[in-house]
Amino acid sequence: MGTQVLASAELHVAAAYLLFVALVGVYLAIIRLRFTRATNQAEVLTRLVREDDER
Amino acid sequence: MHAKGLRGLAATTLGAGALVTGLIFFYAPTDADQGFVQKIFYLHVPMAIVALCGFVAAAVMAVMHLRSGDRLWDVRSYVAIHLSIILGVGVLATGSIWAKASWGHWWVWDEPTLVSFLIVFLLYCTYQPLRFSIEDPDRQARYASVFAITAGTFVPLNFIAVRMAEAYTHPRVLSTTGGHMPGEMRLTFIVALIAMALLFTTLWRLELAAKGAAARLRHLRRQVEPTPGAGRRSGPAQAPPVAAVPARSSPR
Repeated sequence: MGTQVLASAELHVAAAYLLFVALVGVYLAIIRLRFTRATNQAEVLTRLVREDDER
Repeated sequence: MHAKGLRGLAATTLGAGALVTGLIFFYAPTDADQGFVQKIFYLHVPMAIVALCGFVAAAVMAVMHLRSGDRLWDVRSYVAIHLSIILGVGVLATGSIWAKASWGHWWVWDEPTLVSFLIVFLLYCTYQPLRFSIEDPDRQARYASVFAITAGTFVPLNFIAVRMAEAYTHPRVLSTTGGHMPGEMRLTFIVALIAMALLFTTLWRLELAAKGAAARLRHLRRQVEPTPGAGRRSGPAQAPPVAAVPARSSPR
């Protein structure tokens, strides 16, 4: 019984902390995606400007 | 602008996170009453405090926006509310897990602390639909600021009201007597609170940096991309600061 209660407690604590890590992880992944998109756009713009200068 | 010093702040946050994890699981004693489940307290309560402080900070930034007319303050307020809502989701979820483990129920409706936090959370959930239902960027920023100030003043009032109500089941953490926490627990809690505040600040600045970069790129693209009847570059290709760039219809 005691072991079962402890296992249940550990499970709940693990669930709470994993949920928090997942929440922050998803948030960081979204921000990273935005930065990647911005980098790609910056590369496209640099190429456009270079082409324009060459003409 | 917001990216300056971000690397150092992120490293400090990571360090604080590692320190607090060590303190929670290897230093703070196991609670005699609740047992191991009480470890959720070091995550749940700092998250709730930081989320509520984020709402109040957003109200202060909204005041700054209305006073100065600087759109950057509105973006800062928006990001603070956005982050606080995300933390709010975490507070409700971890609170439910803790309630299930301690009380045997996922939710207790007659507990003022839980219900009041839910009310605050739901109130702020209406912020984004309200904001993005307005197309004109200036009106959008003004209305969002008014909402942020009104809702922000509700947060401390709500906190005081809950304190005045008699709670039997929810533990009091911050009180003049220290909430009857042993020294090790109190130290761990304070470090957890600092780590959570650092995390909030880091993510807030990170999102502001991302928004700033996106806004500058939008502006540059408008200048560089060809427009009908005009050359490719119609003006100086130097990007203005993020606040001077009008958003499409939102600060997203």
